[in-house]
Amino acid sequence: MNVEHKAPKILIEELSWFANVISFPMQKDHKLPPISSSFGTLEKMASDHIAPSPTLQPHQRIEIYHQQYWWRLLRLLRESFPLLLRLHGIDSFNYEIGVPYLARYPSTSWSLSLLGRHLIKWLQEHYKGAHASIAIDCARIDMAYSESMIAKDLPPLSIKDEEAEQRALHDPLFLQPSAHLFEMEYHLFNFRQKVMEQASNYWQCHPLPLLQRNAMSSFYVILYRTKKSLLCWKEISHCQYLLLVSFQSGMRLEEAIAYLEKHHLEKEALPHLQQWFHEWTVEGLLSLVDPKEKETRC
Amino acid sequence: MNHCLLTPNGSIPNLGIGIGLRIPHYEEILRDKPAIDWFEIISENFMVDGGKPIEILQAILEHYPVVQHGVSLAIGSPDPLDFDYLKRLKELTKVTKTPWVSDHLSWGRLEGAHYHDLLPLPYTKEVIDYVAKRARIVQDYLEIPFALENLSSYVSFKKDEMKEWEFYSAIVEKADILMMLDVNNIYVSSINHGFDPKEYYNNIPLERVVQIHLAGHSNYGAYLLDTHDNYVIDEVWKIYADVYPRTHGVSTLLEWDDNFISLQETWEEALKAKKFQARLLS
Repeated sequence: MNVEHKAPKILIEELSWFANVISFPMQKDHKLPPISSSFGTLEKMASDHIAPSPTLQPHQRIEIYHQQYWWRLLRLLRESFPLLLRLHGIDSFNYEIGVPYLARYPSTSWSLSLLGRHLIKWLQEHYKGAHASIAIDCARIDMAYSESMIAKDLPPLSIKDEEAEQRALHDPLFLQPSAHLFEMEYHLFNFRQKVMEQASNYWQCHPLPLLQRNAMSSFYVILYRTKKSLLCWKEISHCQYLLLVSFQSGMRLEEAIAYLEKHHLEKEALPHLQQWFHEWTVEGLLSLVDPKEKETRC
Repeated sequence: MNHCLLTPNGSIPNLGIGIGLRIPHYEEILRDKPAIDWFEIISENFMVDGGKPIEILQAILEHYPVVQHGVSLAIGSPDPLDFDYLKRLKELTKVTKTPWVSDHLSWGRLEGAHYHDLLPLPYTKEVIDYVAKRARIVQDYLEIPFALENLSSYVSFKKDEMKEWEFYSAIVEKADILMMLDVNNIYVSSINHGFDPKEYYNNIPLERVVQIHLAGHSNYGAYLLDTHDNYVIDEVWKIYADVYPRTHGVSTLLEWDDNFISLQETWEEALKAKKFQARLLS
């Protein structure tokens, strides 16, 4: 049944040309530049492939697709990275981040939620703005929000289920894939909350809120999805952070405590362990199911 | 009007008038459960692992029929069909129980890159054979009726061997699949390419139409752009009035995807279709 058929030569040739033209990096004037001197002018090249319309020349017609391609993808990228957008403003985001990023990492998935999956890597390699580490952390938080929204649900550990409670003492525990953990020099979640109250245009003519920094230690935050599918964040202690990190890849309770001992934090953690586990279980953050095994696709 | 379209897979119901399910309206729909006949979803928005989209879809399915409409199949792409994508699409059809699935007669994928747009194909006999075979494979794999939608387009290839309606008709007939006819797209393309819309819809197998799309567009002077952000213009309603009776009554859907108006206003705009459907009843 599923025998694949070879595409006709004309299809490959015309579509390859089309794809090269529309994905050519957009300039600030939104015009399609000459693609390459070896191809001659855009006008000449377009007229070899595209017929004129009653009102438009071939190069003007292909330019519509070029603009649509870039405007659509840049809009989607802005929507996926709303904090990074507000730090830069639309023009700077589009032309200093969006266009070069998408030129380097064109989309390779039908899923739009994956459009920005290489942006953090790209920022690490190419970002030239001030405070690069803050910008990258902002992008990480934006990305985590996008991923958390549609991550799979594992059956949560139930405190009402005695058998599960017993298993939790011996079997590996896993953190829900929708939960993301952060260790940061600055309290970027508080910052984000204030920045997100205004649109990006507002921040082009107003000073950004002050960034809270703790000189003594890092800030630890968990971003997670509630049982009502709302995204929440809260500050956690260093001990909680380490425990939850250990559950990301699956760990028995006993091993997790040994892990804390390695960090000389067991004395600090032990008096609170029962309460933390109760809270995490109520919030549905833990599971006995390995996310790599469970397929919960719709 | 309870006309049923007969297909090799059985009969397909006329669901009445529907609107596209879009985020700005979720809360109101789930709270008030308005008397809307059915909703169309963009399949890809719900082909996710979990979270809010799945929760919303389950809640909608408790009260309304849902039909799946996709944007990423890339039926005309030279790349092999993406069976990981098709597997997830099929899994979603089991959840929604959609009576048919549609996507576009377009390409948006090449050498692994996705362009996230509905890009036009060269209208040649070779391309007809290629696309028709793939469309047949898709319908067989999904095991439910499959429909292809005509595009709004802004270019035509110099190597085109025929008109768009000849190309579209040949593919659906050769593949033995259905048509999702977008009457706004016929109008937009008629202006952009300079043809008479009547010539388009008088020369396609209207008996294969399973669903009609209505939408608004934007006028940029030298061309029209299919933006789905405005009211349906009179010329498009005229096409609908001509086409609808000749389909013997099929499901009709209003697409509104940007510059959103209220749910009530969207539904009222969609309901204008009833005026034209009355002609069939009379």
